[in-house]
Amino acid sequence: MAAVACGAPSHVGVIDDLGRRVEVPSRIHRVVTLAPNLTEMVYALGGQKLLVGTDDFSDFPPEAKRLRKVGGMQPNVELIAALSPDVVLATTNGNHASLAPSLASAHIAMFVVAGERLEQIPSGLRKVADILKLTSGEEASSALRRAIERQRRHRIHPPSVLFAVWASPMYVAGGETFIDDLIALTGAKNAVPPTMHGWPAFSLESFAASPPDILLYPGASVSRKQIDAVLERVPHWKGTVAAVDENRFTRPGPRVAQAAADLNAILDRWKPTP
Amino acid sequence: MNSASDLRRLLFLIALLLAIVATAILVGVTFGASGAGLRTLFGSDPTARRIVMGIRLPRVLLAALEGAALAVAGLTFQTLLRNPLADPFILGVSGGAASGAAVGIALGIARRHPAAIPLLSFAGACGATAAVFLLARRRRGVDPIRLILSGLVLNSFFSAIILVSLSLSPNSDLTVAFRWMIGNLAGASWNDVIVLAVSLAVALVVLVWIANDLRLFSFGEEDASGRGVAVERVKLAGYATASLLTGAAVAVSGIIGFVGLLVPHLVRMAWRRDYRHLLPLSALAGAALVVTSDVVSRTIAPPLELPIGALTAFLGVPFFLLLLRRET
Repeated sequence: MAAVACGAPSHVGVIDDLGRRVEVPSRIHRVVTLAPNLTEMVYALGGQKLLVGTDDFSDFPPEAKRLRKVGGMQPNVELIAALSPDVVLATTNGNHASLAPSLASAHIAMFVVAGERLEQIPSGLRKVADILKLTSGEEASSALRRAIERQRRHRIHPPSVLFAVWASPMYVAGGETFIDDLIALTGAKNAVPPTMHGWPAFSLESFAASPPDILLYPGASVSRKQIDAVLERVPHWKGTVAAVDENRFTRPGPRVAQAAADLNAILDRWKPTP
Repeated sequence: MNSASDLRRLLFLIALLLAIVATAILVGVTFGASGAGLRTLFGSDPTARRIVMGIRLPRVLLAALEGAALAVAGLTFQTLLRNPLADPFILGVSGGAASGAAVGIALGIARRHPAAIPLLSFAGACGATAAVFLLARRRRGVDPIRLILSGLVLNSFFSAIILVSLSLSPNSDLTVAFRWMIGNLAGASWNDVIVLAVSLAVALVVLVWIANDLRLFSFGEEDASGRGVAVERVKLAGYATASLLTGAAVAVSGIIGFVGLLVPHLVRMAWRRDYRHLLPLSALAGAALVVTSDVVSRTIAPPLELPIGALTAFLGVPFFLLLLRRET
């Protein structure tokens, strides 16, 4: 490992969010992103000219759909290598880390960016900019931080919010997720007990025991019908149900401030039952 | 080995299998998601070189080693237990290996010490071998049906361990659990090749050493003992070595089932039941089978890849049922 630090001057050693030391070429011309939030970050930083490929899910901005695709949940290592990227950007979500050894065998650097918490998003933007040698990093990162901060609210009657990412069985955003952070930022409280971290399954019994005031669901992968089918089984529940823009809410990327604004709009409309 | 013509036949068979393995490796290196043709193999394009040398070659070699390891493990289990249905997967030994690795991931050991994963897999495989053996043991040796049932139950238990530990681990993702439960070679690296090659080399040295003793096992333990075999010591060495092979194979690719069942049987169809000869033949035939299955799994619907473990199960399950019918 000592060789990394004093390696060829054409490379620099950087520590990624998994704590791995990654040797990244000091000049970056070709980049592959493996998650839509990273693709959005590269566009937000004005680095789209560097993008030579993305994962199947990257669809924003719309031009990203035209980039070469390297696969979905399990990206194809060979397709990535065929694009001969200088660096591959991956996330801690999903199993990208398992691709690192085979990419390393092909002498391709992979940098992993964490996107689990809200505060990691502006700093992730900065890290992506630094890796890609884009000068816009500091400005974009602090602009995003300010945009997020502008959405901070204090509510006298904070509604409890449940964010269901899947209907049946119900999987929800628990503690220590960026959705949980968004709920706290906008002055609401997460209906999921704080001891449940990550994206746990949430039983109907828990739902009935601690009923949320507002139930949110991602509008693209969950349908209103599926939500209604679940709610039929808790007929006494009289809360608000709202679909949200899936991609703003489930991607820890630069549009997260808009997600916070969307959430504030929903919370502002909500009236506590007397 | 009685006559010169026998030796010629054995050498011919080994040469034939070597040719098949070499062809499969060549095909495996030539075809892939990003394009095909010998041009990518011998061209000067640096990207193509990187793909061939960095991605396809380690993967194809890993497949070959994987097949050899699993086939030899299966052959050794079948010989020791005198049970034709024994296979690292069916006995639950692969499951034990995968749950050892999964527990290591859940406890965060994998992140800090990646090299610990093969050791944990080996420990899991040894534990599973001991468990299945104790569960199936009767006063008069090992009951074949009990053995299979014990393996079945252990497999469910190990699946539960894998799912629970990977659900509880930070950044849990079920696709990671699937990678362990239905093996695939997509993450193959040169490191994996080295780990498996060293394990296979160690195992082969031990197995060649005790090959003649294992051959005598086919006459029964008492008979073998009568012919001067240190039965208990050979059994311990045999089980430990088969567990080592299974542990190392699972550590680098997850569970690839039925290879250890299919290959020794196919080889026995072509050659008589002499462990000393079945050993190299099974290793080579196993390599040929897994390399071929891997090529099929990644070229049948590119860029998607079928899990190779599912493919070997498609081949292995009908074969198992056929054997079960014949044996009971």
